[in-house]
Amino acid sequence: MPVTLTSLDNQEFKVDKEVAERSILIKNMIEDVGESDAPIPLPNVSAAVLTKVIEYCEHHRNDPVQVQDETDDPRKRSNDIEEWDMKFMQVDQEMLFEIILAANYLDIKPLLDVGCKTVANIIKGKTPEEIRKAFNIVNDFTPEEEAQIKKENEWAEDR
Amino acid sequence: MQAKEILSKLSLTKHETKKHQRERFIRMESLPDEDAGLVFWEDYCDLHNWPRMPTSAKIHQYAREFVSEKNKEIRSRWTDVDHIDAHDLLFKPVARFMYRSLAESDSHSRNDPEELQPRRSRPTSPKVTQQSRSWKARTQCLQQQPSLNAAAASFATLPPELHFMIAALLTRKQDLYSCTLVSRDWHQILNPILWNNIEDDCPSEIRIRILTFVDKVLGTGSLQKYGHLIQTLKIKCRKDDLELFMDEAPDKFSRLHSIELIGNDYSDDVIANLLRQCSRQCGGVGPRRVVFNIDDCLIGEKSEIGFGPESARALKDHFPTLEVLRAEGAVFSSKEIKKLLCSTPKLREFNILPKDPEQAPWLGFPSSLRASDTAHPNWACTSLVVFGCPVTGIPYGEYGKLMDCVQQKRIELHKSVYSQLARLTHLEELRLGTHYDPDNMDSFSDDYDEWNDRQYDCLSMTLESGLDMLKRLKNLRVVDLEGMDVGIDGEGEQKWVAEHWPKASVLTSSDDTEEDGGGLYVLIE
Repeated sequence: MPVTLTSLDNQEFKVDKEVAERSILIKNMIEDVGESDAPIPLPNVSAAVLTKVIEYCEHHRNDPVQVQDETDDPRKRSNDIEEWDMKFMQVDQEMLFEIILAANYLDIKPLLDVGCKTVANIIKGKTPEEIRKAFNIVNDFTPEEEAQIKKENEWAEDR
Repeated sequence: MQAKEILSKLSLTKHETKKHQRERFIRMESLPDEDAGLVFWEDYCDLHNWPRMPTSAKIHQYAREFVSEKNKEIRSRWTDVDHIDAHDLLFKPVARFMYRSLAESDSHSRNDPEELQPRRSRPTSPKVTQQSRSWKARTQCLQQQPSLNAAAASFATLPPELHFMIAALLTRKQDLYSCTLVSRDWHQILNPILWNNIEDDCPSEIRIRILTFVDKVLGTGSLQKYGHLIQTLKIKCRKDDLELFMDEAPDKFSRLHSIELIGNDYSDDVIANLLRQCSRQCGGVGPRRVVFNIDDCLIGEKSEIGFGPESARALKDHFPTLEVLRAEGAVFSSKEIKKLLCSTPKLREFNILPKDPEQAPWLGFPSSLRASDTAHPNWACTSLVVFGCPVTGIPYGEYGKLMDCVQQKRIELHKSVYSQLARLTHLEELRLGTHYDPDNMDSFSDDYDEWNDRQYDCLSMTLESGLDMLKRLKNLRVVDLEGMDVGIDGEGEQKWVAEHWPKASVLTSSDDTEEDGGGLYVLIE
């Protein structure tokens, strides 16, 4: 039975239940309340972002449910992004963060992981200036502030 | 109304807490102790840019009362972290404490409603309550959520738990360092995370040296400024560097929960100072999450082992919260070990034996627990998973050749030790061996005396001595008895081991034979 999702901008998306249930939020809701024809409003997710999220869930509809492993060290998984996921995440910065926020809101852990890994991989190995460029950020430090932070955190710099 | 608002905000976090339980535990790394409810609340306020509640004595009292009450329920469950519900452990006590303290404040009209409002709201998963069971109620509940699209999404607008998730993926300190220099927003978000963990991981072991040098010579005062943020400290440096570090450090490390000292070039006094500066006594509410992980001492000569009597004394402040104590070559008296085992309800690992048996000869005979000190009271550390400490002081000699009174004493002492060990039903590693293997000693000591250096006043580990009392230790994987004169290689004992410790590897140096029992049963020469 398909499930209808309504985006922030009132666009309706009909998706298979098993696709919608990649979202733990929606899965729990359906389990708790029972199936219904009524659309599920997702006022935190725009149509553009929801389209991407549904695309991800469709692609991963048959993946086993990810069991959270408390012993799993997130630091060991940073580069571990599947090829399809990597291409899927090749979007503009704003969309990338919107997807992360939507994954967090909808409780889709694999998508959240991929999003965070993508951001971490963009940061890795870059200088502050390169990070600013990558994320389109303006350096709002005064030269004095920047010098002070460099001194305070110099211990953390690789030599 | 104010209390309800606060509770509502706390409820909203329930969902994200479950989702990010791992991240929470990375930051917490311990169950709430008596003050953890308050600390968690303060951390939570900081993360969400909320003003902290006024920290009146009354609020502290409630925090202690409620969290302590909750602790009684969860102590028995502590061994299995996977089953711990962060919401139950953290939020309920905090919520209750907040509710009570707010009600108190309301009744005295001492509370400023504005102070309790978040400075900026973060998008989060919707609140799902028992009351909103119907589909309509559920969808209305979803509709009440603020839009994510109020501002353009960017790194800075992500909620704090996602900053932690991303930061955890940045394995090189250099990357976090670069992030702190990107912009003011990024500095505000990532500088505390950079300081959470000070790990002297450079091959040249220079991080601590630079930190202390820059602080001292350039007068940045960064340790004073950010030292309170340090949660884990892993140090491998020269004695002078650690002393300088301690000179420049803040008076207290209120969040430090894991200390790892690597090396043998530290004085007992400096280690004791470091331990004292993490003390819960230090600064009232002070540090609450304390995990000790004193590991990997590189052994040179016996006299250089730094973890001595002063450090052992300083450690006492941390008994209520201590979870792991791994202190190779540490100097403890038997009475101190007894006190520790009787006063550490959260202890999961206690090991004062060398990790590398080849270092054993350099350490000398390790500190040990006298069997006579096990009589009573019962050990508090019933959640122990690793126990690594020799037991000494049991009269030895062949059965039948000892005087009756000595024989009786021997039986009593065995029972006393076995009865304490028998209560450690979660035990996976039981390491009693001193690793004083006579065949390996010649190269280390010219005047090695086999008779003196092999341990004879140990548990005999025979059925006759009462080994059967340990049959409930079904989870044992390692039973290390090397260097001990034990009788566990007898036929009856081997059968018993195969039946009752099916998963255990039993390591001894008392025989040449190697046989397989029901479990993996290995005798190592």
